[in-house]
Amino acid sequence: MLQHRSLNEVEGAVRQAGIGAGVPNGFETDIAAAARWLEMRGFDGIRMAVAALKAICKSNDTEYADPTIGPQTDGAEQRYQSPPNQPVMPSHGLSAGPILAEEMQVRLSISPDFPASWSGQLSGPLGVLPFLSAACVETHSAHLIWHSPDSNAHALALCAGGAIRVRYSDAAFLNTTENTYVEMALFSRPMAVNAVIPSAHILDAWDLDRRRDNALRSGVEVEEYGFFQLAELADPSVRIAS
Amino acid sequence: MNVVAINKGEVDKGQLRPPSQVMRLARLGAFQADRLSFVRVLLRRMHRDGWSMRRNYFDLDEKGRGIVVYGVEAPAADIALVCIGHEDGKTPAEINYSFVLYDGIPDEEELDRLRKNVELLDKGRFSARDFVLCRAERNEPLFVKTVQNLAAGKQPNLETLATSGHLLTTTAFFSNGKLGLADFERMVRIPGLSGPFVSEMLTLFLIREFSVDLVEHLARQRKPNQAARLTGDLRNAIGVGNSADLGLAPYLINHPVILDRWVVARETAIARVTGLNTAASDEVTRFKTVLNRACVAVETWQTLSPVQSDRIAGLREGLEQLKEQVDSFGPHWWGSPNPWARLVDWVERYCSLETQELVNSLILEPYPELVDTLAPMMRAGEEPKLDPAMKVARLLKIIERHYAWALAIDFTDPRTHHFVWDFVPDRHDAVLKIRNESDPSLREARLGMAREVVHLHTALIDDDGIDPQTVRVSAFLRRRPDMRAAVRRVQTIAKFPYGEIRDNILHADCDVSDIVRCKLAFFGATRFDPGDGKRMSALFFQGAPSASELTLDVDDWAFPEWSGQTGSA
Repeated sequence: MLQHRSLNEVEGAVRQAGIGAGVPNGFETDIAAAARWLEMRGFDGIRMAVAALKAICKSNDTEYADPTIGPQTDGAEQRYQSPPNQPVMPSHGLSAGPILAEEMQVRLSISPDFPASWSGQLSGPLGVLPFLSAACVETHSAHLIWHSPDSNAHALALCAGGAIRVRYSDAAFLNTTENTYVEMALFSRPMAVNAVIPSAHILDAWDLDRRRDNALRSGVEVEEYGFFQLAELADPSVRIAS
Repeated sequence: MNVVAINKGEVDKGQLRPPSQVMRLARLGAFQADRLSFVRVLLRRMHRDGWSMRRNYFDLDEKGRGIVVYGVEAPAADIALVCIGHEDGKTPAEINYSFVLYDGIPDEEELDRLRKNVELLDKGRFSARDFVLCRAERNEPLFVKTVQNLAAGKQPNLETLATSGHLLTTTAFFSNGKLGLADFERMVRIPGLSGPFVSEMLTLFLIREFSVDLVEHLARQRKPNQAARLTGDLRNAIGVGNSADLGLAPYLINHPVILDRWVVARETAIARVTGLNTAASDEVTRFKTVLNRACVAVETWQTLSPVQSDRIAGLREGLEQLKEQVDSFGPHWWGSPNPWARLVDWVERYCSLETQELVNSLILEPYPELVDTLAPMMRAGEEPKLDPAMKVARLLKIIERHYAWALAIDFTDPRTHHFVWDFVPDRHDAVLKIRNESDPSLREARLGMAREVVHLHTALIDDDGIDPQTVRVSAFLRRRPDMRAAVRRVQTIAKFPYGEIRDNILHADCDVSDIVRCKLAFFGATRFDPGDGKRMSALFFQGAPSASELTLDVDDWAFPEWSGQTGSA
């Protein structure tokens, strides 16, 4: 059932779910802000947050545990606090996003003439977009995220000016919960976008600001089930019982 | 007037009182309303932009149940306050009225929707057209007496009215998206509502109007032929009470940039005035007038809290001493360099914090052109951000510079983390509890910044794998992701040093009501009463012009004076 929710409620519910799910202190703020960012732009930020947080919780379960990171007492903490030589990246775009974006931001600040890039497996690659967007504003750069092995690669590009170019119907795969091969890059110059993405991949211009205006006028209509799942994550006693 | 040197340029940061002095909890808890308070800013805006208000709809029965709508015409915006008088049994006994600040003028269908949802209490759902939800209860003794007097065709006693000061007490405030209400970003796009807490202050202002209309209506219902209406002074003596939950406190901790902006605006105003070379005679006269009024107003400040009683006693004494001093100052004293700085120095040397901060508010009164222009500075435009490229050495330096006070705390003492802010299911904020580590349902909101930053400092120092000169924050956070919040905090405070309360708020001796008071002081509340320590009561808009007086001088009502009219007891 759809219900009206304010963006602040979205953010608050995700933040509490993050605390309940045991993400390291501070990540819940970032994940929550990113979920709000996505909802504001018409993407299903709540569903992504639930998927990201569940992925973190799942590492409690030995079946899912990475054998290299030792006994799992507190899955979430362990997953993030892996030994420095074997860093384990959270597997979902929304929880890996802060780390990826910041690493790339640092690399770009060290050598501004070269793109900072990363490639690997992520579920919900769209989840990194809010973080790359922030990094992009900070570094006055442009970033891209694309789904590479598929020959019909769909590109999602974001310039420092804030315009997203994407064909909306193709954005769905970016929200996938399955592991997807993803490449992304952060460039110091916005013009690099046109140089790197073949124009065929840039399909429709999408006026971000107008969508945001609309969202703010009406709040967001969200599936109540998403909030129910967030509430479950927020309360560890409920989660453990289930 | 001698403001040539200072009224154009900004005050140098170095001229402000340092955060180490200002940002102590005891001092913040002594802050008082001033020219920059949000209620003052709102009234100036309403006056300047020619806002008008009218009663669009009035349907109350003989017991005050029903709906009243006040329409506000601001430039390019129509806003309404919907006031709902509850029928007995529909809401808990302590909720007599609910109010919704609404975008536009609601039709019957919308009124019905609002009425149904306010009656569902915290289960109610609101829309992006609804800005603020507020609940209130009657201040029973004064309310009943006032209705009785008016019904008998008499005016109530001014002194009684002014001493109690309010007919309604607001007990719960919801805004910024709670229960589905409009998000802050949505609200501030409405012309006239931009700026901190404007909608909330407008709601309180209109509730005050409603409270007066309500008692007059009830009196008329009783004695239609002889009931009186409240006369001007009596109307103005009525403010609106507010009883705030201590849950307000985390706001100032969670929003360091906002706290910094508010405090820096006030400190800049103080520095501009204390930086003046001389004071003109009309400015001195103006100061003496408000000082005298403050002395009178403080006499009516009552509290059940022994701590606050002592503070008020100290304040009364301090103000009397100051008055004697000020009366003894001749033209030579005022004509010598930096009179306000010398005055403030004197108060700081001999008077309590409560007196010091009141005097800091009072010296701003004669200088609208120096102070009022700082109000736009109180909008926070920036979210706390993490700078991943910063070197660890720099982070350590910031901690040692801005958190030396925290590093000096011995956290092995259990009293240093006696309290905990715990998230409660179904509420989006945290409540203060005494820490019980064995409580399995504890979900701590990490608000004790002293402890968080000390942990960060220890982690940075103890990590042998880190060379602070070469390693960046991003690399450190890969090793210690749990330090993310603390790193962001420290980096934010480096930019916004007035954003951190420099005391351990989890300490057994910490009085959280000081944080609530600080926030309410910025709002423009007066007569703070921490009561039994669970809530903070205060009064808004007492002495302020009413909605029909907005074309008059709207800026001379701090510490109002009553003209001594007497009525029936």
